[in-house]
Amino acid sequence: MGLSSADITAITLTLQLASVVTVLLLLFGTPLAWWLANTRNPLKTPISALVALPLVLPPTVLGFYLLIALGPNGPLGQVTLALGLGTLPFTFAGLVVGSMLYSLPFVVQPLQNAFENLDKRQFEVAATLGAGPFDRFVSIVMPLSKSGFLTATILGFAHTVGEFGLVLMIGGNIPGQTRVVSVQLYDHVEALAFDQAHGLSVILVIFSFVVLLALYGSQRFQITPGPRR
Amino acid sequence: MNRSAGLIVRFNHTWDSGRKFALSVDLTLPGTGITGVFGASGSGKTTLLRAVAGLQVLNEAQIYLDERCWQDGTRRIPTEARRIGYVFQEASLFPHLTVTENLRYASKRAPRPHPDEARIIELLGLEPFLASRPEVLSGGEQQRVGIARALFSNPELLLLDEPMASLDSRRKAEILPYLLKMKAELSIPMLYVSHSADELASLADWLVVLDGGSVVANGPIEETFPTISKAAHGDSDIAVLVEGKVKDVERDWGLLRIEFGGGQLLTMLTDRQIGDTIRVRIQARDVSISLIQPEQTSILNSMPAEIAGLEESQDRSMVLVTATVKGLAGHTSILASITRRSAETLSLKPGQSVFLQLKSVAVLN
Repeated sequence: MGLSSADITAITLTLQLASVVTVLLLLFGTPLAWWLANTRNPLKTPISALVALPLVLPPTVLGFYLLIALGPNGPLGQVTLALGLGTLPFTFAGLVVGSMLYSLPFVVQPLQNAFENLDKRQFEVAATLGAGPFDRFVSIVMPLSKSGFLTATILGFAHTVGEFGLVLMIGGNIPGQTRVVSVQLYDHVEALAFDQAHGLSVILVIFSFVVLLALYGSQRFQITPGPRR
Repeated sequence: MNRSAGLIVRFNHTWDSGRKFALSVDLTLPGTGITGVFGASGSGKTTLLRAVAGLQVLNEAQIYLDERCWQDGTRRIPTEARRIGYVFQEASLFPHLTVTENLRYASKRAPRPHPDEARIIELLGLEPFLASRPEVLSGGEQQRVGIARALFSNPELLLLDEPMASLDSRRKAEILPYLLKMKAELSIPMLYVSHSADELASLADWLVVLDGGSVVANGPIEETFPTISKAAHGDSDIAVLVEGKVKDVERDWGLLRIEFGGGQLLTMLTDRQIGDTIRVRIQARDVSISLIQPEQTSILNSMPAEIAGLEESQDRSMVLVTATVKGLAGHTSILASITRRSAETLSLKPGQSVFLQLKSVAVLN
């Protein structure tokens, strides 16, 4: 049941992909979640629906459209070509872009929930004590939304590790570049190498269980919020 | 633009979120002591305070504290750049920080730390729970920390929005002495919003009365207090405040002799020294009028006065008499509520000399 070097490469690649995607999603998802939590703009509803779309859409549909859009004749493909970046499909960067869209709701929604549950009075207090908007975000919003950030990080990372359909569509199956664990597993099964498939599957099952254990554990010990009005 | 010392607040603003509400003020308030803002709920008093703090954004306003401009026309500086301290109804301490860290949050962001932080901690009695998390403190203790935190930002103006409203009466009685100590020891001007005439009677030096979004009274508390005692409790509880100095402590009798502008009063002994400033409340229904100097009576306080005006109550059974007590040191108006029958029997009229008898006098602070 031992792991081959190709398995190890796939695992390393998967972890790299999930880490990059999670960091980028936290960076871009936080302002988006903040906007969604606080805006009264009528665009809020359609944008919320767009963000949630990957929850219901088959990943292959998302992958198919991304493949078209990022391809040499697609609108985004033209942009990346014009910028001298080449085309993104069947590259690691392409996987990152696809995975970010795919895992977006798993990062944005926990953050949005956390932001919506904050006591707005706390920001007013901070303002009267001399804290500007960015200072307020770092000193009040972030610590009080700690469990939201933790949930977003864990779900974003874990969900990226688990993707398959979208990766196959826009990543293909290039060892060390786009062949992630789920694709490698599929290859093993195709080749009837069930022993090797077991090896990877067990690792994924244990990984998922540990992630969920960490998630629920962290929610039990979250900071008790301040008195609600 | 008039930029004399004090707090200037001028704006007309209409809010239309479901229910229309207009607030229109043009106030020049003293830059020292405690200015009370009195009004029923919905009168606009909290909105006024939030506007001064910049938490309520006004499209157009003039807000100045001394020579500092906080808003002129549409040009406004944000809340965090105004040197204010704000005490909310609920203490709203940061739940993820200890008491000390809550205080440090304020001092770290102050342009200069307050020169006497240790004294503030002592004044508000915070030593026992400096290391605690807010959630383990009682409501009164949390509010004391909230007040200290506002002071730690070393503000030029302290805004208090009914800091005692969310506390039960025992906790209120616990906070009031701290506020009085602060007033006596710290020279920071305060704007104190309350719907409690009793709280303002003890604390305020100046009073603004709001009703339905406009200012109905604005002046020193001695002049404006009758308006709010009437608004709070109706005609029967109307009262005046008299401020004086302790002249003598008559320990054998358990009494205190107070000298005020126009005369002297005896009250029950409280923990005071000769020379201390003291404020008493005299309710109109506790004052009776006699044409001759009362003798052989159990009533302690009687004094000559001159009738300044008479006003019939709505049901015409009572008359509210305004009488002026005059002396070398000034004069003071006192209200007496008597029956219309008595007023007519004594044929009271303005300018007449009478004697006032004060059945009871309440010492406030």
